[in-house]
Amino acid sequence: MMVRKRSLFSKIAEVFLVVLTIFTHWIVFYFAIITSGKNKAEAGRLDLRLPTEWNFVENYTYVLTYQNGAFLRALKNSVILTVFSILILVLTASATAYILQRRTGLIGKISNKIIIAGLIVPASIVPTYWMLKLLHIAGTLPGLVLVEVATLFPFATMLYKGYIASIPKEIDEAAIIDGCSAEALFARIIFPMIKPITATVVILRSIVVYNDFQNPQYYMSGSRSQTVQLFVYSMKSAWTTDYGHMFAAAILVSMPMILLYLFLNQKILEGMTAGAVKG
Amino acid sequence: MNKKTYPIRMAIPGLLIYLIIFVIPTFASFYFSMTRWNLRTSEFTGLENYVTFFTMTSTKSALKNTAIYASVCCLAKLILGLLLARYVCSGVRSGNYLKILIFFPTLLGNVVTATAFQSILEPNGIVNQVLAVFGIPTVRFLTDKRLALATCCVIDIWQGLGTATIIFIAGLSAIPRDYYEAASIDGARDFQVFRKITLPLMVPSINTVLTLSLIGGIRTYDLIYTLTGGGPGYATEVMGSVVYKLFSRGSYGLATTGNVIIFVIVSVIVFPLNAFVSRWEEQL
Amino acid sequence: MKKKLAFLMSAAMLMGMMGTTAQASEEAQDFSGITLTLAYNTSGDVADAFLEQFAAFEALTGCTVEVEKLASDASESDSMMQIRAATGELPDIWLNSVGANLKSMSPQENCYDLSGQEWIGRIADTYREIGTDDETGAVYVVPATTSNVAGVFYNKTEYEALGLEIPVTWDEFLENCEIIRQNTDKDPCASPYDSASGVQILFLAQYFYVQQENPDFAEQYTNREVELHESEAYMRGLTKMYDLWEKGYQTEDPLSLSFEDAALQLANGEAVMLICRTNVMGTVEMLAPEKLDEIGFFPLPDEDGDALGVATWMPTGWVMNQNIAAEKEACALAFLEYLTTSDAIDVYCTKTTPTGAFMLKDIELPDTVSNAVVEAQEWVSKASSPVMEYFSDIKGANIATILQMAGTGEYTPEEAIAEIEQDNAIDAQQKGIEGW
Repeated sequence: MMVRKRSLFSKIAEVFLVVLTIFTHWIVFYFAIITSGKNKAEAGRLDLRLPTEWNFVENYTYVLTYQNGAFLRALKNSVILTVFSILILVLTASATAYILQRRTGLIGKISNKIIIAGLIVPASIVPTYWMLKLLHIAGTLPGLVLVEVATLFPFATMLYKGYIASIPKEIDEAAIIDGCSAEALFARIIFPMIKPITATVVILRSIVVYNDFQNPQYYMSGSRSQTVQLFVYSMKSAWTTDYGHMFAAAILVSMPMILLYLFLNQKILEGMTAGAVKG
Repeated sequence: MNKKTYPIRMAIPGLLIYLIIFVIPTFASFYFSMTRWNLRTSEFTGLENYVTFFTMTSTKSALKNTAIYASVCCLAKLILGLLLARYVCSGVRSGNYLKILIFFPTLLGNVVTATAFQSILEPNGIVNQVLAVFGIPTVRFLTDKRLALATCCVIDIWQGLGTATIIFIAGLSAIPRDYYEAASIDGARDFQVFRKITLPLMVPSINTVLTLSLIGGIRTYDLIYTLTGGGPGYATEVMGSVVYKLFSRGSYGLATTGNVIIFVIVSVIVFPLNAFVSRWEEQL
Repeated sequence: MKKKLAFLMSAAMLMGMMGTTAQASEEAQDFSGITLTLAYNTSGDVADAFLEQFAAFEALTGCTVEVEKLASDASESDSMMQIRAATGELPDIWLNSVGANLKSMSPQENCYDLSGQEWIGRIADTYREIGTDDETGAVYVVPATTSNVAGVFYNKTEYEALGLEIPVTWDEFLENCEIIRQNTDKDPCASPYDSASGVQILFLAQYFYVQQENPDFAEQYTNREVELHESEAYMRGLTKMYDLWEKGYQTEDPLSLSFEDAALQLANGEAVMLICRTNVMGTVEMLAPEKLDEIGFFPLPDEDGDALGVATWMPTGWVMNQNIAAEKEACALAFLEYLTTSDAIDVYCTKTTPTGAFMLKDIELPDTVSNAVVEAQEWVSKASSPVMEYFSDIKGANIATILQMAGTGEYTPEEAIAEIEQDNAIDAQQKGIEGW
């Protein structure tokens, strides 16, 4: 975009916006971080005061060493589940979205409706289990991964479709005339062009799989699949809660996603320049 | 050309997983909405559950609250998200900072978000301490029945705005830069560029955000439930929390009925809306 | 039969506090290489106590105990176990509520029958009876924690300072509240209504007086022979909640008062009374241990000062998977047996001070138990009844919401009871209970 001289007004507005984020966002982050460093009694008061006794090391060590490092085992489970699910999701949803977006016939229209319907209906646990059992993948990692992929599929396909709509059809036609196969066209030309939305899908859906604690419990329970989010839940209880430990766990649990986002954020930015398609 | 360039076989793997693991079990579960079901045995009761569901006190409040909640959150995310995305992408110095910050709440998860807000908004919390300085009496953000739903909306928007913004940013990045350059050579003003170029090209993204946040708004319950448990009274009861409560009490048949009803309500709104926006998209 | 049960329970709770002790067998079996999977929803001190017990059992037998923590809300985790039973994903042993929620597990298909074990007699008779299948005589649960007694917890220092007497009728209770309101800036009675469990205590505790009025009330209600509003004692539960609100004797905003805040207020004297269960003493011990002895207990008063009594809750229990792998069976049984020994209880008490009876025969409560808990236990032996949910399966999904509204003046007791009856009817219909 052209660099333009900015008015004093827009500079003031920008400063105001940035200052505003202190009250809208930083206060919440500050609260979470500070609470994670308090002892049980002070954390229980849930205020914004600084701790009189700094318990960061104690609280984080507690979480990390809890039950001989159950946290790290759960982290491993979560990461494996997330990586496989998102990989399959990206491959299947992008290809499906591309075909459905380009084809305007009956199949495309019907599929569209069914996919949107999938956004609306919540998953039905027990019948899904019956289906997994029928396929002989009940209680296995592949079974669980497929459940995650199927649940996230409508959202991802929807995002891909919206984005692919902005890529001119002329590109496809030119490639096909050059003798490219349909698969090669998608893999070599289209897929690289939709990187920004892939980055978006990855970050938005990774959070969901990573934070999912229900599907693993229903479809592949036990320590083989126990995910990190259960940690946060298990530290919040109606009767006795240790908020210091809970927030320490919550922050540790959020870390991988925060790192993933900071990394993908750059990808999305790169996409902003790469997205300049010469039509 | 169409069939050869875009062979349906490429869509098959995705559609197959989705159909087998999601669609078929879901439709199978619709049958159970007409039963008394304890997960092992079911007894067919016809439309009895549907009648029961609508006679429940909680359903009446939930229908109204869901309508308000979904439309307010959806509109706010749409408008604020679009403005923020455009601001972030306009090359301002704080753009990247804002982009990262706005998305952070999404990374935190519901438990942390809800607990943090509960303590910040409580009667002795920091917000009320600040209000007291200006002589404003204690505001009960989450336990006053006139305010609770509005508070939940604000927190939902706070948490979900990042998702809308990031989808818009991705959409903006797909707009060929040449269009802007051409426009700026023509001497078009900011607002004109936005209205004539950005907005039309953003219709697919707008459609996505609109559909996703509307459906999300109608279905959601977890954040609200963690914040207020549906209270005070039924002031923040939504369709999702009605279903959730029935499910936790073991009324699986009736809970499934609630899900089917949500499905029908969303379909009636979303499908026509989607068709309308698509037609708009084609006109542009 | 139900009457007998109530009587037995109080007898057992009393007996639980005296007598001899059963110790873990000298020659512990070797189960190295075996991994037991265990699921529970508890957290805090009690969870720490569980973990300590698991570790001790691991050390004793060489097996590995793999722990899975569930969502912490009890009804949520019970329904999760029902779903997992349906998806074949039950752990080897899990924590379950006893009473109606155990029945919903369809125990005949999912739960291991422990009735043939020689150590089963160590479990207090009442508890064993509640965990017994009426049809088959199978026993499914081993108590995991301690029982709970509901009543009024009060700050003794404040009571002395104001020269207050322990009230024996509800009217006297209200008079005390009035005196506190007039003479101090403290809240007469803290009402932690922010959680679904907190808002139900007073209402459920009233059941002692309901069954005094009509011993067969729960059974008759389940069979739809009486309506809830026909019981004056039942209605008084709602009236009491309404009184506290109407007369302004509770916190200004009870809906944002958490259980922990209320416990702390009681300990510090910011609130003078709190209608609660004995597990509140665990919270006080955690937040303000130096104030433990300042807190006393008296039963929730009703109309007749000579007929006071308390309502009790059974501890949750460990349930074993009927379809457990054959090679794990002996280990799992040994584990449950271990949990009934005094050794296991001693280990438990190293992490938390019990706030009620263990429901095991011949197990003494340690000396460290707080005065209020001891006072409450004395009432258990004098006059007590388990709450209604052990005698009737019917409980609507919205009870907490309705009670929150009754406790904040949104509903009059009459409106509230109509809502509760409608809500319960739906639950009864969904459960397929005859006559509904």
